[in-house]
Amino acid sequence: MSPSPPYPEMRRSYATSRRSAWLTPLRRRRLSVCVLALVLALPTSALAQQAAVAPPELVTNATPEYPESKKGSGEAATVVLTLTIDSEGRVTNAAVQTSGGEAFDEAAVVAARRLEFKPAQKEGRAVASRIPFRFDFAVGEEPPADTRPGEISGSVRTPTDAPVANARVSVTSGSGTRTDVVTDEKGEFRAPNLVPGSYTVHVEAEGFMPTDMREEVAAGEATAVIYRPGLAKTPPQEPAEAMEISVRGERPPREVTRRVLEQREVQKIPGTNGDALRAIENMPGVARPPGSTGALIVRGSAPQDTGIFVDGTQIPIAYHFGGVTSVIPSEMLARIDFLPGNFGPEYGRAMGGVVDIGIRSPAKDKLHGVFKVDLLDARLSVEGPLGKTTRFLAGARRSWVDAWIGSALEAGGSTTITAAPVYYDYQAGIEQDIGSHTTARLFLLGSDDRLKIVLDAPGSSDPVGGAIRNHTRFYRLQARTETRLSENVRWMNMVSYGMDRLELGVGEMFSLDVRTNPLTFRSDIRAKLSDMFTLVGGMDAVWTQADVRVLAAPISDQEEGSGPFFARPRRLQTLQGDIFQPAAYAMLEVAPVKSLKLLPSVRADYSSAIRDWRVAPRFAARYDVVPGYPRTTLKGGLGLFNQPPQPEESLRPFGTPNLRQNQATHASAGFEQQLSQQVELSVEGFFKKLDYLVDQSPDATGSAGGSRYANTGSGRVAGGELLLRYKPDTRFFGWVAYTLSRSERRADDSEAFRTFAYDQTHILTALASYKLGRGWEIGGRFRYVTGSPYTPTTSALYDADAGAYSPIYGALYSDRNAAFHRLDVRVDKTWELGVLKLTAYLDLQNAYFRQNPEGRSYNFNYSRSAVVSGLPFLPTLGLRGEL
Amino acid sequence: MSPHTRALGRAFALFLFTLVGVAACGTDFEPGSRVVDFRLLAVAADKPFAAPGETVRLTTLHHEPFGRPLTWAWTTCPLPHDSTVNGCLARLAELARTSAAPPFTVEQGRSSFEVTIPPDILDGIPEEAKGNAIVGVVTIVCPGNLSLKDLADIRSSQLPFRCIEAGTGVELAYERYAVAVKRIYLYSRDKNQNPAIADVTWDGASWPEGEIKEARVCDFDSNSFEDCKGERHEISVNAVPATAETGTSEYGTPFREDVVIQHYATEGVFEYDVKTLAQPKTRWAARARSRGQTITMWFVIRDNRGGVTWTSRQVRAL
Repeated sequence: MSPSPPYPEMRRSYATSRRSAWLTPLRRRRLSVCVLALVLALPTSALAQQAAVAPPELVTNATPEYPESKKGSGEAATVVLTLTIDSEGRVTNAAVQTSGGEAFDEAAVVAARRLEFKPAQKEGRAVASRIPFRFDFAVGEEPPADTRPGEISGSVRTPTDAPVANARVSVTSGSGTRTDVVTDEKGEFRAPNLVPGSYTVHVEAEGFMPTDMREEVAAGEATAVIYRPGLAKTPPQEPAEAMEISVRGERPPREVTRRVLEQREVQKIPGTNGDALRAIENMPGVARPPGSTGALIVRGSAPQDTGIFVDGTQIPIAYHFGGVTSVIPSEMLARIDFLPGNFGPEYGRAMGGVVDIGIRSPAKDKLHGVFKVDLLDARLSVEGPLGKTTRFLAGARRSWVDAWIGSALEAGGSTTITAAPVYYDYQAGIEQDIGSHTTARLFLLGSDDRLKIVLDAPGSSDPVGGAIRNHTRFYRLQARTETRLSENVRWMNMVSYGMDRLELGVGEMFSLDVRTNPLTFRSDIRAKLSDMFTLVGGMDAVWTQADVRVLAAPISDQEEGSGPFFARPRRLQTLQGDIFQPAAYAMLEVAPVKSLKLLPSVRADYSSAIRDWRVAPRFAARYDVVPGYPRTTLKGGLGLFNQPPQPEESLRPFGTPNLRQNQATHASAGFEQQLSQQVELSVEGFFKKLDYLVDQSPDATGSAGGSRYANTGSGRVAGGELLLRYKPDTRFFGWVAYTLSRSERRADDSEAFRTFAYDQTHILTALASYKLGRGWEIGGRFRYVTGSPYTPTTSALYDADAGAYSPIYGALYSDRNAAFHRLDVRVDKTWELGVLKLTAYLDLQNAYFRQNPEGRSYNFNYSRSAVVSGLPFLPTLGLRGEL
Repeated sequence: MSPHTRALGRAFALFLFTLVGVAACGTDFEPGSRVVDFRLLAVAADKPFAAPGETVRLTTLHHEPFGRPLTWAWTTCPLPHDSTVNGCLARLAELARTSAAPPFTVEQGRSSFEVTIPPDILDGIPEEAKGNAIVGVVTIVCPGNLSLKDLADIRSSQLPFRCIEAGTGVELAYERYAVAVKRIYLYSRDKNQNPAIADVTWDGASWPEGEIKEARVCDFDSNSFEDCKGERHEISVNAVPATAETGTSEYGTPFREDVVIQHYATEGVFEYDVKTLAQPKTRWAARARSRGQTITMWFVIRDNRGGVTWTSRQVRAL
C-alpha cells in the first residue's frame, strides 16, 4: 500500500522512519495508533537536485493521543503532515497536508512537535529540510495478555557465508504493518519492538534473489535468524532500470526460482528493438516463425496452441504485423510469464505453451513519462498518482511505416504494389486502493492493424484483381481486484469484456469477417494453510459470441496452398452463435521439506459447443539437491492439457458438432546448476504426446462449409533445451540458448508420422551486451535455426478457369529451406539530462547481409523455383526518453 | 478472434508474402505469357453454368508450334470434394478405387468435347451444400502418344499419365503437355454468359482480326519490359460493358464478376501479362531475337464464374 521510494537514498530514509515509528507502540484498550512516516515524491526537479541529500532520520518518535471526542466512535483516520525540520533535527513547523478530520489533525500536530530527527545531510553537513509525515489512527484489538515486544535480529549472508551489507529487510505483521531495516557492514540487522505474532520477512539485496521467510516473534524474546538469499541477480541498478520484466521459464505457480530478464536486458537485446515480448524469441524452446509472421511456436506446437494472456484475459495476438513489435509497450509490463509446458491449472484451453503478461501498477510517487521514436513507430506513455490512493497510466503508439514504405517499395522495383500498412495500440488504466487490503484496477487495451495493397494488375499465377485487405483489431476492458483476506490468503477476481475482429479480403474473390465478443470471468484464491501446504483454487469462464461472414470457395485440404482462387465457386456463409466454456481448477503445493515442492493439481474444462467435459490432472515438482551455493535443482512435471475445437470447427454451418477437445500430454524433467555467482546452467528434456487433434477433410457436397472435422489427428514432440546464462553485472550480460527438437503429426492412425510444419531441429541463440562507459553500450545477437520445412512440388495441373497452374505437392513437409542464421548488432548511447534520461540507439538486423530463405517462388507452371529471401538488412534508428 | 482465425491471418500473410515474393522475383523466370512450346491456353464451355440434364460443349484454345500430332483425352470428375483442380484428380482416383475406372475419351485431333450432366446429380446432396457442387472436365493433351496409368494406384503427388513425344519417343515432362481441369457449375436456374469482346486496339487505333501490325524490335533480350528503351506498343482488349455481371445467385450469394484479360504471345514481353476490364491497357515490346518473325498474340478474357472467350492477332517484327 505504501509507495516505494524512487531513489535508494530515499528508500533508506523511509525504512528508518518506519522502524522508528514502531519504537514505542501505543498500548491502549480498544484502540491503538500506528505511526508511519512516508517519504513521498518530491517535485521532479527537487528529486534530481536532492539525489545526493541524505534525508532526516527519525530519532525520537511521538505517539499522538486518540482524540477524546472520537473515543467510542470506532473511527479510523490518517493525517499527513508536512514537517519542517531545522538543521538540528527539531520540528519547527507541522502543516496539515492531508486532513483526517479536525480532532485527528490537532492530535497529530501536537504529537509532531515532540518528534526528534537526525537532520538531513548534504555533502556532510546538516541542513534544514521538509518531509511528509503520516500518522494513522486505527481501532485496535484488545491487547494480548503479554504485550512485551519481541524482535527479529540476525544477519544476511551470501551462499559462501560472506556478509551482505545494505540488504533491505522488511518485517510485515499479519495486520499489514511493516518495519523496514537495512543490514550494516557486517550484514546484520535488528527489527525490535515487534508485537508478538507471525511475521513475513522479505529480504532484498542487490545481486540476490528476493527471499520471503515466515518467522514467529514471542513476547519479550528475540528471534535470531540467518538468511542466505539465492544468487540470482543483480549488480547495482540505476534507478530508471529498477523495474524488472520477468520472463519466467517453466515454473510451478508459486515459483521458488525463476528466470528473470531485467529491464536492461529487455531493452538492449539486439534485434528486438527493445521490445519485451520479443525477448521471448530468445528463450529456449521458442522456434523462429517462418516468413517472419510473428507467430509464437513453443516446443513444436502450432501457434494457435499457445495462449497469450494479459493478467488472465486471453488476447488474440501478441504482435503487430509480422512480429514487428508487440501490442503492449514494454514500459507497461510488470512481468512476462513464459510457460513453455507443464504449466499450472489456472491456465487452460491451450495445449502448447502460455504467455501471461502482467500489467504493472502505475507509479505512485510522481508523474512519469516515456516516449520512443524510431523508423517504425512512435509511442508515448504517462503515469502517476491521482491522489493518495489512486493512480493512472495511459499510453498510445502509432506506426508511420505508411509514410515511407510506398516510395521505398517503388525504389526497390516493386512498382505494381501500393502499400499502406498502419498499426496502432492504446492502453489506459486506473488503479485504486480500497482499504489496506484490496487493490482494484480498471484497464483498457486495444490494438489495430490495417493493410491494403492495391495491385496495378492481377498476378499471372492467380489473376485475382482488386485490393488485398487485412484489418485486425481487438480491445479488452478488464476490471480486476486483488484482496489480501488475511496474512495467508489472497483472492483475485477479474472480469473482462472485449471485441476481436478480423477482416480479410482479396478483390471480389474472397472475404472473411470474423467478429467475436468474449466475456471472461476469473476468480482465484490462494491460501497458505501451513508451512507445508498451500492451496490454490479457482474458476474461470469464457462466454464468446461469434459472428462470422465468409465469402469464399469451400475449404480444401491442401496445407500449402490450393491453387488459384480465381473462378472457384464462392459461397456466402454466415455463422452466429455463442460458446460457453467454464472451468475450475485446484492445486495443492506441498513442501514436506524446505528443499522439496510437490505440486499436484487438476483442471476441468467444459465447452458448450461440443458438450464435452474434460478433466486434466497435472503434477510438477522441484527439489533443491544443493540448496546453498552452488545451488542444484531438479525439476519435472507430467500432465494433461485440453484445448477445445475452434468455433468454426464445431459450430454449424462450418463445423462438426460431435467433436471432443484436443489433448496433449506434457512430460518434462531437468536440472538447474549454478556454476558461479553470475553463471547458471539450465537443462531440460521434454516430450509431448498429442491426441484427438481435430483434422479437417474436404466435403464440399456434404456440408455447407465444405469440410468435415474429426478427432483423428495425433502428434508427438520430443526435445531438449539448454540455457547457459551470465546474469547482468555492472557491465555485461549474455546467454546461450539451444533447443534440439523434433515435432511430428499425422492425420489419422493409418498414416506414418511426418514432419510438422513448424518443426525446427536446431535453434541456437547467443547474445551479449557490454557497457563501454560514458553512456555507450554495444551488443550482438547471433541466431542459427534449422530451415523451415516445406512441401515440394512434383508437377502441376492447368486450371482452365483461372488460366493458371495449380501445383501438385509431394510428401508433406518433406523438404527444408536452407538454415537461417543472422547477426544483429545494437549500439546505445545514453545521456542523463537532469530529470530526463535520453537514449539513442541503432538496432541493426542482419549485419552481414545473409540472404535467409523465407520461402520459394515458382514460375508459371511450377517447373522452376527460386528461393525468396528475407530482408537483407534492416537498420532501426531510435530515440527513447524517460522522465 | 479465435486462434483459427489467427491462423487464417497467418495464411493471409503467407499469401501476401508469396505475392510480394513473386512480384519481386518473377522477372527471373521466363514469363508465362510467352508461348514457345505446346500450350493449352483456354477451355471454354458454351454453358459455364449448367442445370442437371443439360449438355455442355467444350472447346479449346491451344498452340502447337512444332506441328506434332496431338492426342486428346477427356473425362469428367463429378462432385469432387473440393473445388480445386487437384480435388478433381483426387475424385477420379476415388472413383477408380470404388467403382470402375472413369472412362476416358481418347482421340487424336479431338479438341472439343460434350458432356451431359446427369439429371440426378444433385439428388442426395443437402440443400445447403448444393451451391458447392461442380462437375470437373479433365482434358489431357499430348503432342505424341498418350497412355493412362491405373488411376486407383496413383499417388496423389504424381500425374497418372504418360506422354511420349511424337518423332523422338521421349517421355515428356508434365510442363510439355497439358492436364487441365475445367469446372462446370451446377445451377438449376442461374446462367452465366461467356464474356464478349468489343474490340482490340493497337496504339489507340482499332486492330481488327486479320490485320497484321508491324513493330520494330527493341534492343534487348531479357524478360523485363523495362529493359526496352525503343519502340513499345500499347495494346488494349476491351470487353462489352455488360460483360461483368452482377446479382445474387440462386443460392443467395451476392456476386460481382471480376473480368480479366490474359495476354499471350509467341515472342516479346508484355508490361503486364494480365489486366482488368476496368484498366485493360498494357504495353508490349518485341525482343531483338524476334526480328523477322511473325508473332501470334492471343487475348483470353475470363470472368471469375467460369466464363471465357478469346481472340488472336499477329504482329511482324522488323
